[in-house]
Parts: sequence; C-alpha cells; structure tokens
Amino acid sequence: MDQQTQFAFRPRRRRRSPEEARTLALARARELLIENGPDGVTLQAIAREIGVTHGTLLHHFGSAGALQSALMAAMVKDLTAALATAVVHVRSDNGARRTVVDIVFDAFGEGGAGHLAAWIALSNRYEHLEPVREAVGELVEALDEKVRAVPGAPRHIPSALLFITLCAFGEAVIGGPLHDMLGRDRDSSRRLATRLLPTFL
Amino acid sequence: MSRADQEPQPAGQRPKRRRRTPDEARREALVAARRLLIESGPTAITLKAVAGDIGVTHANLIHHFGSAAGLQSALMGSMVRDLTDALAETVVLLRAEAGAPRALTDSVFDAFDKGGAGRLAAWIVLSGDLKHLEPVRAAVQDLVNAIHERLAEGEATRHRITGAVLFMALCAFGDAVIGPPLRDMLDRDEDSARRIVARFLPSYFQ
Repeated sequence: MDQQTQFAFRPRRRRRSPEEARTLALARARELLIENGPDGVTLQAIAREIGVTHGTLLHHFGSAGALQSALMAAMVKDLTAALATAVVHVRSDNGARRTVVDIVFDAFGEGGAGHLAAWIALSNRYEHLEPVREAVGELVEALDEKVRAVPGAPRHIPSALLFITLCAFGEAVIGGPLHDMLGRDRDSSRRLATRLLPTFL
Repeated sequence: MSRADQEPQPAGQRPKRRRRTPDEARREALVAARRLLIESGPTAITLKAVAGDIGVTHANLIHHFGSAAGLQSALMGSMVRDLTDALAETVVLLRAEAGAPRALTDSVFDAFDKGGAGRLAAWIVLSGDLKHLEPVRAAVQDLVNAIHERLAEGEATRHRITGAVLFMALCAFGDAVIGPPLRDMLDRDEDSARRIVARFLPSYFQ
C-alpha cells in the first residue's frame, strides 16, 4: 500500500527548485532583452519560453517590474565580477583602463542594460529597485576592497562609477544618433571615458 | 464684440459646453500626454487616458491626431522643439557671457532635465522612431558652432569641441533619466554629475 501511494505521487516531470526556476527565467529574460528590447521582457513571454505558467513566474517574481529589477540586479552582479579583476590595474596600466571602460560599455550596450535601465526609469518603477541597490552596494564594496589592497589605485569609487555609468548609459541609448549629429566615430565615447577615468585616481 | 459673435454659427446649434478651437484641443491633449509620459511612462499615453484627462471623447482625439501613434508622434515633436529651444538658450548664454564651464554645464543639464526632454529622447530611441530626433541635429550643431566662435582664439579645435559636447550630452542625458536613483544608490548628492562635468570641461578647451 505504501508503494502504491508513492507511485501515485511520483512527479510526472522533473521538478525545478525555486532557485533553478528563477535562474532559468532570468537567463531567458536576458536573451529576450537583447532580442526584442525591454518591452519584450514580459512574464508571459518568459513563461512560454521556459515552459511554465504565467502564475508560476508571478509566484517567483511578484510582478513584471520586479522581474525587470531582478534582471538589472543580475547584470550589476556580473559587472562586479568582471570589474573586480580589471580595476586593480587601472592606475598602472593604460590598457586596464580601456578594459574597465569596455566592460561597462559592453554591459550597457550589447548586454542590453542601458535600454533596460531606460525602460525602468521611464516606467517610474522605482519601487522594485531594492535588489539593484543591493547589487550596486556590493559592487562599490568589492571595488573598494580590491582598491584598498593596492597602493595608488582609484580612491573615489562612487564618483568614478557615477561618471562611467552615465557615459555608458548615455552611449547605449543616444550614442548612435548623437555621434552622427556631431560627426564623431562610434568609439569616441569609450576613448573619452578612458581618457577621463584616471582623473578619479 | 467677442470673437464668437463674429464667427458664423450654424443656426440652432448652440454649444452646450466650452468649445475649444482645434489648436487649443491639440495643445491641451499634448500637455496631458506629456504629464502622463513623465508620471507613468510611455505605455500610459493612451487615447483613452488623454481623452479622460481633458474631458473630450475618444472620437474627438482620433479626429485631431488620427491614432494613438499620431498623438505620440505629435508629443515627440513638441518636446523635441522644447529641447532645441533649450539648447538655443545655451547658445545665447555662450554668446552673451564668457560661458564658464559651470554655467555651460548647468545650461545643458537643464535642457535635458526640464520638461522631461531626457526621458523623451530615451522614449524615442526605445520606440525605434529615430526620425523624431532629427530636429535636434541643427540645435546640436549650433551649439558646437557657438562654442567654436567663443573659443576661436584659443587652441580648441572643432574636434575637441565636438568631444566636449558629446561628453556633456551623454552625462546630461544620463543624469536626467537614471540620475536620481543612481546617485541615490551611490550615495552622491544631486549636484555630483554636474560638478564632474564642469570639472572636466576645461580640459577640452585648452
């Protein structure tokens, strides 16, 4: 009889843990962002893609706004990992400055973080930003820690981050038309940011 | 004599409520649409919301703008005019005074901040309707020329000036759109992005 009960309750398909489901949803959300832009990142589209119901996703994230915020936070976490290594060499090595700039500009540009941030800002969905705030806090802390271990590395991490984020965001969203109006090549924003970065040292 | 007396009215047709001229109706609709954009984002600009806001019928708005897309397009047009006007003010400022880095920075930041111009630009890009940004081109080029005239006797080459304008515009746009939450997360004050830009600007003009 025990055996029979067990049989009856055997799951028909592999169950994902909540953590797995979240990770999978965020990975798919990131692809959708790059493919279709921020308004393509809907709970419905992601649910369809990963084969769960809209209700399940809603259960994991709470709302579309919260999902976009979770996606933004995941992108900031990736930036933290990528920047932690590069930032150490910023003072000594000119190439490292360009690497730092490329990491941030790539995340905001090709990675879609710029358009996502613009979308979140336009929708005034600031009530969900707590995960992003946490991730930014961790980013500042991680860079600070790296930097304190190295004599002569950048001291003004928050100001440097504000500067480079505004430039990378601006470039990702209005860089194309602006370069065209000014007769500048596409790389000039990155060169400009690379040149000014050392002034934060 | 009032204007209404001069205008021929069809016999037996008396307006029950205040009549708007087509121009007034358009203007009021655009003011309401702009408020919706700034307060709630692009998806909030629906014909229904705007009609409700100014007290006209949906059909009436269709008559004025053709469609929701037509209304949005008209809104983009009017906001872009405000942005180009604000950039023209920067040019006037440059021609009238020395154009100190901080004054120049404030003027460009204000141009993107006031009336939601930065948000508008972001919206135009996200909607893929880049042709609406076209009127900004002349304003941006005027600004480059004005700085060039101002600094003609110095070392500043045109290339350096376009670099300075690029730098100012990227930061001013970014600050207008994501500045408030970003500065808050980084524990920077309201003025911090402007200070950074004003500090770096002279390096372009030397």
